[in-house]
Amino acid sequence: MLTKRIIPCLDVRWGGADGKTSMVVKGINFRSIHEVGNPVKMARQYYEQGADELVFLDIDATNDRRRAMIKVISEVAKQIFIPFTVGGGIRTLDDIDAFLRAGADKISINSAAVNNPSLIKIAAERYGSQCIVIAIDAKRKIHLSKNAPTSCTDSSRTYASKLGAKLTLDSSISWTVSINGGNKDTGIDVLGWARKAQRLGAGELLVTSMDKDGTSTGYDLELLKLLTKEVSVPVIASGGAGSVDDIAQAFITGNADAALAASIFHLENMTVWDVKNELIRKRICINQ
Amino acid sequence: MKKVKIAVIDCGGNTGSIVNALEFIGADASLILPTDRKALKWCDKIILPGQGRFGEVMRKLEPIRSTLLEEVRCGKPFLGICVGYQILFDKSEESPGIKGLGLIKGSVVRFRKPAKLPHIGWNLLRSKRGMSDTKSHDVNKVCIKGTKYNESGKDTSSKDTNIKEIDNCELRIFQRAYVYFVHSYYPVIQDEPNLKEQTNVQITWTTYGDEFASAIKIGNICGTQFHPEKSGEIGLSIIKNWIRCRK
Repeated sequence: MLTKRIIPCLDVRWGGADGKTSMVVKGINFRSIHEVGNPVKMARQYYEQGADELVFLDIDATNDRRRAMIKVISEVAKQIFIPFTVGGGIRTLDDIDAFLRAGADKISINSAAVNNPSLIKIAAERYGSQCIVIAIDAKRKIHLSKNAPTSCTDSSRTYASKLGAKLTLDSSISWTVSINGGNKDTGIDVLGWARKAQRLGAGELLVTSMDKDGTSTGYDLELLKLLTKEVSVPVIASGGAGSVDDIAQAFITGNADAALAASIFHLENMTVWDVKNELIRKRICINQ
Repeated sequence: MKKVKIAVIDCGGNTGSIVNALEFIGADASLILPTDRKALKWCDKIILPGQGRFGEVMRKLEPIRSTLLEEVRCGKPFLGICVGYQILFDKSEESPGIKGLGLIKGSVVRFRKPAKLPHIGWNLLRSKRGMSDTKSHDVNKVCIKGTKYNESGKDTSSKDTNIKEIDNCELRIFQRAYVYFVHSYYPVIQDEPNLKEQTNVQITWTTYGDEFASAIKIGNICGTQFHPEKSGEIGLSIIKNWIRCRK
């Protein structure tokens, strides 16, 4: 039986005291970012703890218009022998080629795929769909009923996510695609974009809830539930994992194929083993 | 023991992964172009890592096709991974009309039953057909021969370059291990009952909707549908085991 996958995620950018050291960072709702450690060390550590895959995202790359850290990536690739996905700032086939040569197995594409969907098709044709992960940053749009306080519509994301948990599934919730590290809301419907990405050749979808990211309040289960019905490629849940129960819910309620998490491993002092053992106790099929 | 020279045929894609794994376990591996007949003759063992389509890989292999077949038929150990495993067969539904190497009789087909494709993730190897996948936990550690685990579960013998040569590497000892798959097609062996009668044949089975042969070893020819270079410490053990066996 195919197991559910646990995927630690390293968001990496240049930082440290000199500003020239690659650092794993963690933010909340794509903002208020702080540094948590060395990417190569952390990658090896998660590998030894039994991670099923690893994702490495250069979170500065898109905005700064520079390629992610090829050298750091190849150092990581020499240390871990599990599938390794790299993303951040990918625009062209040359970028993809460079990352694959550095030792990445899969390439995560976000903004460039939205700006130029044919890139998905060309890349999938050249490298195979298994290599192309389309990352989608999803932002909840809540069309509040007349009873809700209007002042809370957009200004407070936490309010929205709290409220979202109580909302039932109806046409009043939708999600739109954000790009450029969450800076630009394209207004494109997430479910429609997911279908299109699959049709063009995406092998997997990595879906991050911007509202939940870094809040440790659980994944956006409604989004996952709808999305996994909408597409037939594997869906990786991302954004919001704060406990093992959150991960279990992403599998059970959200029907996700894999769960990406950062805070739970970076900050909560839990090892991948701990998380997996608890999930096995919850009778979820996991590669121990 | 003399270090075995391993040629890894570069047909594009992420050859980095297999090279990294080989370097990590201390093997003497070099990437060769699919035009380099000399290197194929020179090396002790050949690996064809897989990424891409059946037809595409066969097209790239065309310049060395006859040399490769000759070397493998003369007994040089060959390991094909993923599509490198599939091209050992006669043909594939992925690329109709294109001939494979035909070293194993059979054809490659697309998954019939599963709703979700590709088959991506960790799945179980079994030594027999039709066996249940349950009660699988806690077994992968004990079934690995020749590897030592410390408390963290890490293989401590990874860098051991003094590995003893063994006569025949056994795939079967990896039964009930989880390994990493990424594929939408799998090979169907022609005349499987007959093949299994032969003493030098080993097959492992995996189920994802359909049950398929996830790895085969027939004498010096070895193929894995999964990616041993991406299957953690168990995968590294499989590669190490393959390197140290005589055939």
